[in-house]
Amino acid sequence: MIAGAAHGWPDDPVPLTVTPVERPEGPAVEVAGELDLHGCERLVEVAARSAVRGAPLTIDIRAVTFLDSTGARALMLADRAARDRGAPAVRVIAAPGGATARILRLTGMHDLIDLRVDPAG
Amino acid sequence: MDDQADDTPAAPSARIPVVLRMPATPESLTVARQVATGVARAAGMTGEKVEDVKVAVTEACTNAVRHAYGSGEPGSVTLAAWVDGGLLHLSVRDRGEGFSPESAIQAGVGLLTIRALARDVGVRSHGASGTEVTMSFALSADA
Repeated sequence: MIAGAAHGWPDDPVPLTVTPVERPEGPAVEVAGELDLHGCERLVEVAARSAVRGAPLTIDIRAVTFLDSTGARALMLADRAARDRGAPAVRVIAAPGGATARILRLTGMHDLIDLRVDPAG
Repeated sequence: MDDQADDTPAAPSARIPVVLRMPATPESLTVARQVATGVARAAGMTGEKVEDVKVAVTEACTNAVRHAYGSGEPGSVTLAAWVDGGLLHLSVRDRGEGFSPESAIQAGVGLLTIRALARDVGVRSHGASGTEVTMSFALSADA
């Protein structure tokens, strides 16, 4: 997904979407757009609702176009919410490189969550 | 890379900064980022540098939204942006009561993130009349 593609300006904000989906490997939450304080609660809520006992939940942030430390922290909160419901640790899939991966590194979050780097598919 | 054509809009100068006053609510974060991005682009910044500005402004404004005010009426946060001496300067000011000990660690993570991205960062606590975070970024990648 290209940020702001529908509008033609690369800096146009992309509204956050948090979508629960079922994937062959188990339940997943697809996150797209700008993840800051405004969307954190929504991500944690959807992760909690999607978590299934015994099945690992995937949070796919490859389409996230903006992430700050509060958004990175929300991934930890989502992980905790899923584990509170009996799910194993959340797997986060992020796109390689770019601003999102940089913030995950800067905040140390890449050491604290199960983070897999995968090109956007 | 963006071509700096002659019709590039003049960036705001130190004499007349761009000033945005907004409610200290999570909804304001997108607006703050948009304004900061617009000023950064007008000043000739491109690529990752603009991303740095977006994150840093969001971190500073998030601290004002989350930690500056009590649970009563939402307060305000003011963003100012200007260009001077080859640098983009930004100031984020709230009129809150200062960060509480309970919120200081989370606010600190935001400030650490800003320090990792900006060239210079200053934090001024005005006691019970708010906190101001100032930061500057080099306009060109090699500066």
